[in-house]
Amino acid sequence: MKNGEDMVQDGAKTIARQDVGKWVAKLMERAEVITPVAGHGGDVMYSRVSSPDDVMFDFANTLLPPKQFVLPQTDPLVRIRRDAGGFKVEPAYDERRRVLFNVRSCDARSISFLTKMHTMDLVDDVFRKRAENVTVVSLTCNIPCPLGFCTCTDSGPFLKDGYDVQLTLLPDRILVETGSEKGVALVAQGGDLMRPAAGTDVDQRKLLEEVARGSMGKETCHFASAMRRVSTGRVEEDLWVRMSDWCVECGGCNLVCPTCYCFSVKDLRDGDGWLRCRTWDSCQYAAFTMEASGHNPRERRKDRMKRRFFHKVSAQYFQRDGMVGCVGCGRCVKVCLGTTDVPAVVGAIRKGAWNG
Amino acid sequence: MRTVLTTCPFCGSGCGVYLQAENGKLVGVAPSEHHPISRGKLCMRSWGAHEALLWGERLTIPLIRRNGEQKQALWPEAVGFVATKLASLVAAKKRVGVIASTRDTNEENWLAVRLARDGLRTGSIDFCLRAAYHPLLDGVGQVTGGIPSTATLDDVESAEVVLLVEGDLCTSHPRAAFSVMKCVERGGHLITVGAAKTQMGRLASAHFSTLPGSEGEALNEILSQIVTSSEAKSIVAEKGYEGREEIARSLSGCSVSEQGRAAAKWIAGAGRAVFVLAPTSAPPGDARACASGLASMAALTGHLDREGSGVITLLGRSNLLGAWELSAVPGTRQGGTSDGGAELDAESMLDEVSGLVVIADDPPSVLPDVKHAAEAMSKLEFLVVVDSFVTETARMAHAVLPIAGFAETEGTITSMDGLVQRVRAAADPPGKARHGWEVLADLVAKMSPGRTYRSVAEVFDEIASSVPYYAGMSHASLEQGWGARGRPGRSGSKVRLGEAAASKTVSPEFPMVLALDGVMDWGDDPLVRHAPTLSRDSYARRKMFPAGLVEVCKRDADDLGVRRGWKVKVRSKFGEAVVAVEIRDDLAPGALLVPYAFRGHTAGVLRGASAVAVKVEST
Repeated sequence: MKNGEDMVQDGAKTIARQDVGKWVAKLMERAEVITPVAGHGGDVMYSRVSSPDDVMFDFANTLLPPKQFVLPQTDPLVRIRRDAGGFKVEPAYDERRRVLFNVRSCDARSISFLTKMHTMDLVDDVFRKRAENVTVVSLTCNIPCPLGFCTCTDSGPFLKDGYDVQLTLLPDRILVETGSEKGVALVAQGGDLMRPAAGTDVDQRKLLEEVARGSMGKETCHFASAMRRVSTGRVEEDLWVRMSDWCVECGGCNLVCPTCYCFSVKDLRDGDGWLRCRTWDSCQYAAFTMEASGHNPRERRKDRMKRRFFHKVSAQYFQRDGMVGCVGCGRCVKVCLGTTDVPAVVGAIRKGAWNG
Repeated sequence: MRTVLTTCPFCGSGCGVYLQAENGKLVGVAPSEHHPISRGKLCMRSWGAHEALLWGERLTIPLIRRNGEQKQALWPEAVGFVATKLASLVAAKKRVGVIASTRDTNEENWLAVRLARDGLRTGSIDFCLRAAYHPLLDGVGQVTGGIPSTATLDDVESAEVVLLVEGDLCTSHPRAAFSVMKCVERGGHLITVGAAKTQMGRLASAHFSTLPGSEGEALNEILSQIVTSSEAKSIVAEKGYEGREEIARSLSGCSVSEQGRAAAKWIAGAGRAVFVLAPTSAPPGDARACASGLASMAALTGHLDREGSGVITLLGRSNLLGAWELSAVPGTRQGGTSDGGAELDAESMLDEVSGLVVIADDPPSVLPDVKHAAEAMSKLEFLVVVDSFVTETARMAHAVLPIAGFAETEGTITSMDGLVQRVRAAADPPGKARHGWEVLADLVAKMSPGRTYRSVAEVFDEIASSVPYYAGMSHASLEQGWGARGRPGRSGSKVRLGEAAASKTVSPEFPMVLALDGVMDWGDDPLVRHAPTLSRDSYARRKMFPAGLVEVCKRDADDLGVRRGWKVKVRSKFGEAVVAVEIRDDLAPGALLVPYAFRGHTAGVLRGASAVAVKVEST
């Protein structure tokens, strides 16, 4: 979307940079505020802040997405207790009020995608309750990250929807847009700190978006042509065979993917009962699809890779989900312990050639 | 949520990993983007590093065996009991020993060494994996002056040539496999040597297929080309290396393939070349020679001490190098006051001591002879286990002292390239379990009055002042940045070159080779066995092959007329066994590999050897 027309809302506000801390302090009174913070030696990671001063605006995106705040790595689903003559099972809801603050556009988009995946058919109540209590404040990417390709997935560098609140750093203040009821309520907590945005603020935002789109890095991902090939069976089997030799099955691409939600279920001992937990899993692991009989329908790695990319980019899922299973964050490029990240494989599918 | 940086507890690569915990319990892990080794990447095992401590069967309360049953005890009582009993064994001039660990911190291993050498006044201290790696460390060390690795994984990535003697690098050291892939992607030449043409072999410019344990034959083929070159002669003259003529003489009749000549040319012509060595199925003598042959190849081509070139010894366990360097090995290498009496290795300790302290290990699951280890341990007069997990060994113990797992304790470990890094606590130890260093410090204090340690940092300070490699380091200095490397000192003045070796094993009567796979088998390691995601493959395999298995290539299976799961009779000069076959596409014809976890089923055929000639028949 080249033109930013009609994308900035009428009700947009602004807040002065020096007032953001005061707003965050107010948010902290009612919710856990979770935001990217400095980790060890330049690493950045999401963490609950104890002071508004910890909120950063100048940071490269975290390597682990904020996915874990709606879908934790170890996710208790139900509590199981022994009861007179049997077992008592009750859901383990996590209804902590949380604000995910300064979430990058791609990640904000992924949370709305995950919410759709967990509520569109059979509603996953554990997920829903947790997600309902999470408010996403996204931060547009004036300077896109070098490995991102969000313009190819329509998930950045600026969002038109899918956020509760969207912040844009203008030269002298912050533009605040709302995208949901939750977002409106969150902005209202800012009270007088929020001022109506002027026409010039809106112009500045449009300009910033144009500049950002124009400066996207070299990473691109041509999903449309790859989708045609994947969906019409025009990917040579040998291509999967060759590509699978460049994957060491670390599962990192799945685990850091903001849109992946494969899981396993395992009971964890909890006092004299158990917690039935959903845990992150990877469709690339050999044993992921193994059946109880020992038979594995996707025993060979190339079949697992094929399955992964069929899910990510086939027309069938695009039609159902409204987007490819990728938000262009570029994390898989960083974590891949081989050379088979999403842009590389999508490129190979499109060209029908792997030059690894 | 608490997020704490620590060092990965699995292989020796030394990756950085964040642990995440909530309310004192682990909930997950995260990669570290700027860590100099892992650089944002984690392998499957690292991604599941939190699982075992969460799901595993943990030791939580001190136990003392009374009337044949392990009964709960209080800490002072348990430590007192152990100290008194050990002291009485020493006083009675009975043999005692300590088994340290490659999954422990340096501080814990240091205290284990102090307990053995000072407290129990014995040189009988060892770690179970030492026997498998000693030949490699020794063979490479002969040429490098005792340094196991003179290159880093970054050097692999930017090398023009990588020579890899491997089992299955993608499985054993995924992070190293990544560096190799990057090298190949950049156009580097990868040369692989091994019984299996694994993923690495398929990416290689040249793969030398050998029988298991005969990797030395391929190395000698290349070495014979190099050793007589004028370049090698001038390097030897310049550096003063010894032994070139001997190698040249003994390899003079070596037949060399076209591939061997090409490989030699690539290596000699490369500006940067890295030689990577993993354990194989070779018997100790051959493994040692193979290691020195490989390092000699690096020396003769000028790659031994050239920037960006060098040798890497792949170590299978996170703190294997630390255990080695801190002298958790039989005898006395540095310091200590051994009584000069027994200096038993792990395997003999099980048979010959009366009292044994096992720290964070389970000898029956690590030592080659499972049955013997379990039997020998059950006969011990006094067995003390200091560990975080319930193991076979812990079940047999007369006293159990429960300690924190890697994610619950503080300390340091030393990765295979010599990086000393912090291990940090993210979660609380379960139940009454205490930090391993505290428990061992208590034991040391009881056994050697006056020797007290007030903090784990103080233990490290003693290491820094006693072991030259660690000089100048402290917990405080390691806290910043990403750890530190010491200055490896060359031991011995002259470099002694050596050729590789490979015992000829096959004969018309026994035309195939049955070998224990040299690839580290994680299935029995508590960090994998107790992890729901990581243990699936090994559980499934054991379920599928309850009566054991050997891996064979498709061609051999066809010749034998067997399919997956069918049984064959394997016979060596020692004995025979009937086991099921698993078909592997990538294995060399004539090779039968036994995954380490299944070694018990073919023990009678191998009779303690790592590779043996066999005859195979379908049943």
